[in-house]
Amino acid sequence: MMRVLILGFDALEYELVVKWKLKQLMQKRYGAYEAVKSPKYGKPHTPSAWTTIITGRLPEEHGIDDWWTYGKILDWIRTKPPLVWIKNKRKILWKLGIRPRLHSRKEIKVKTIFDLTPRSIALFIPGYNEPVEPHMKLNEAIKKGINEYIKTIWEVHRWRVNTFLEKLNNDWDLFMVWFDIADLLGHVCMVKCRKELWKAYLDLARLVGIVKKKTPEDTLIIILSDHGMKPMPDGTGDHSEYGFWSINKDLEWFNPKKAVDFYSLIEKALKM
Amino acid sequence: MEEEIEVKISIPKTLYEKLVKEAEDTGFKDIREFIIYVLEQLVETSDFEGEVMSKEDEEKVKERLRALGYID
Repeated sequence: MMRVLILGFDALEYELVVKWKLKQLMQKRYGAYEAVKSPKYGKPHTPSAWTTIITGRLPEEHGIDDWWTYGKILDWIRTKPPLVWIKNKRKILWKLGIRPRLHSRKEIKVKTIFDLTPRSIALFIPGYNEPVEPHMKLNEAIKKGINEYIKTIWEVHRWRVNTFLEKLNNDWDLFMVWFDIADLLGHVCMVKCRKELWKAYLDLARLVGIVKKKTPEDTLIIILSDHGMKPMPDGTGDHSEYGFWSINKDLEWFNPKKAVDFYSLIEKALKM
Repeated sequence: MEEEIEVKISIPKTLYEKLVKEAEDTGFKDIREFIIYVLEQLVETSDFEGEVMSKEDEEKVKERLRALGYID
């Protein structure tokens, strides 16, 4: 059985990895694939895209298409008249003491890659087991301005890195971890402050180097993004229609074209 | 290949040690390759020509994040 480590780098942009010549991120083989579109947002969106990657199913089948949920009934009522016409529903519900929670494993309707082996670790995976605290922290930070937001993005990232490196020492056959720094900074800095984004990419490359030293050589390391990041006319960054992948081994059969392909490729690697 | 000149500069020892580690972790052959890479990116890449974020830009970022469900 081959050990598989998946480094999920949200919104890691293929064009930037190549342009900035980040060999550590490109590994032995790399490419781009067609990202999955969220039915709700009409473009690739983090929770539905990662859930597609870990299940091999489209959002309509796996059932995750947003960050937050109020539970099945309230989610359904909110989309129907007259509630659908009311703006700022989230704020009103918050004042009434009704808080949303992040989607989790129990709402995913199909099996995931983590069911393929008993020794699997999933860390911070959107739609599956992402903790709520970083969202809250970032939500508060942006109220104080962009600089505070960027500072907090780095703080959250360092916390994620430390937690991950600690857990990497555990016993596992399949380990998947998710980092959001390329996405969060991509939205802010894709046009106006690219140096900050480059620093983040370099930091992710450094993390790969550290990970390679800490894992046995026969581990298959898959670097994966759910979508890329494109510059927008309004000066922000937005999700592009393709994602990035790379592997540290010369496996010719590992050649994903679509987000749904990853499930079977990971399954095959685990059986090798 | 472009002609190279030899430049001797002194840098703090701790910085040198950090650069050696950084070069190794980020996948560069050696510290020389890493330093050239960083300087090239900083000096030659038009990507980094600084634009300052205005209040209006900040609002546009917030709008984008709100539309994607990241913030309230």
